[in-house]
Amino acid sequence: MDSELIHANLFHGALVRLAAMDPDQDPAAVARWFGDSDFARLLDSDPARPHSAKQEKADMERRAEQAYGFPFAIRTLEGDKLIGFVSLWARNGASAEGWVGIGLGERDYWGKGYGTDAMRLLLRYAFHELNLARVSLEAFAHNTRAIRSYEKAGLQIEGLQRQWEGRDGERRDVVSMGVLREEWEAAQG
Amino acid sequence: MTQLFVSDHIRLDAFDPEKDAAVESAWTHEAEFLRLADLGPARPLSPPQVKKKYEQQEKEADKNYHFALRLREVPAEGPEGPGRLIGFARLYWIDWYHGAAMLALGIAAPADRGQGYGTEVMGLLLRYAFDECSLHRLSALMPAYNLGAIRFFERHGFALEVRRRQAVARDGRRWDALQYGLLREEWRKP
Amino acid sequence: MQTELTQSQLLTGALTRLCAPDAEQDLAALRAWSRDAEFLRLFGSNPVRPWTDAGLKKELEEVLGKDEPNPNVFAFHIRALEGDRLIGMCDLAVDHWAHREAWAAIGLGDRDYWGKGYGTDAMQLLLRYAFQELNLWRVSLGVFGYNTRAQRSYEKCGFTVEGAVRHRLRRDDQRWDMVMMGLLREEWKET
Repeated sequence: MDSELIHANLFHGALVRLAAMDPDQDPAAVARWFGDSDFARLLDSDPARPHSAKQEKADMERRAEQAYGFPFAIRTLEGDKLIGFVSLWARNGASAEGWVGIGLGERDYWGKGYGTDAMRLLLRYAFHELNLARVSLEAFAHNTRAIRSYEKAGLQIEGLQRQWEGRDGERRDVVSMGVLREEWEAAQG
Repeated sequence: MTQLFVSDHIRLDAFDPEKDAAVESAWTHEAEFLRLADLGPARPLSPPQVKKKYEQQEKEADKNYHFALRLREVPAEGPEGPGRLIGFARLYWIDWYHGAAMLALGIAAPADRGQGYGTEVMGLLLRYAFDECSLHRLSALMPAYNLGAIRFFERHGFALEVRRRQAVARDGRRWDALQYGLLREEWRKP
Repeated sequence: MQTELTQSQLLTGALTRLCAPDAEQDLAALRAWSRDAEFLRLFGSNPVRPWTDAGLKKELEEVLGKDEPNPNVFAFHIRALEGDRLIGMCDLAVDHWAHREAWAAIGLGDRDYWGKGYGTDAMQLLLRYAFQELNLWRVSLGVFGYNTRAQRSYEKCGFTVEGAVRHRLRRDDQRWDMVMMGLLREEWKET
């Protein structure tokens, strides 16, 4: 036996793998995703606007430099297709907590378990590589498909931030979700 | 005079950003290799990120000597080929005043391990460190879960000098961080 | 009581307190210490030489961080409570937060305060900060083989010798080991 580590490959899941975003190859695809306003409006509350590939490339390069950021590309195991991104931020080492965000840009892969698989991989990374004590996430309360996916991956709703998002003449709530290391460990067994 | 950079199967070489970045990028997507070779959080790198890393290495070149490990291509006739990149080796944190350095090496693909290449690399590195850099001692750091590395360094005469208890956390448990050392007078010169 | 925090006055001990390094205010003291070869040889392994003011300021800047504080280094200056005199410096440096380990370093530049418990008191403050504020799992340090007074002080604080890097230093035409010590959270007891 060469090693006592549990995970032979931390980056590989059942449907997807975590990879580096490639600022040479990937900006065009990501820019295309931001041209789909449904994607952009589900991702966050910034006003949806089209991105250029050039801007996307600059953003990728900047994100890669952040010491406390862990951005990943989501690529399918079958066909090695770039379908989205998932990122972890762990800025305060002392408190050992992190924030996660995910977006699947390729609509064909919505609702088929790809997002859940990616989130599972990221949580495993958070708890077994970064050794965080908890992971937090925020989602729009109306994004029920995403919330179900996050719950499947182990996150729980912890609270509600009322009337956070302003769109389409309405004010809509944001749910705060989180998972603790002990809960996650218990769920692995 | 002896050839410092070449053994039967291995050439110690400089990294070539144009050719090597894509290969190294692929290694970094295999978390097992990263977690055996490094204590920092495993991160996959894109080829541009690898190139940036090579540039950074150039800046620290006086205290960190980085080698590309190439598997030699020696045809029946004609000149030697460039050789396939199979791993890395480095003398790092070189303290020239006291003649001490850290040593690390890794062969990325499991298929390339167990072929005796690691032993050839170690032979080249030790001769380079002691005969060319005139160092007095070398250290190697490894987590206690890396049983292969422990066996390898012990086989090459390194002694366990320090056990930092429970210093490494991964996969929900803790391991000791081991520091192995080899003094020049203990080196079995080939 | 307004808060349930269990620890108040985190950075004040019995003999010393830990405060922010200040390149301007502290320069006179730093300058004096940096000309004391005995202190320098206990504190660092590079060939000792007297420092210029500019060199001292630059070194401090590098450790603390230029435009924003270095998130992985917690550097303090040590002041004696009596007279608020600047007597030394100490720091914790984290390589990888994931492992929750920090490297501690301490040096008392003012000789009048050697061998009287001030160093031990300051180290205890540093350890309290490491375990109670940074939530670390262990603190490590390396101490030169010839610095036996420091080793005794660290042992008083609970550190265990975990090994020695043989012949790590050469000084006065002799080779010395670097003694490596470690203290786990579960072993640390506040005195």
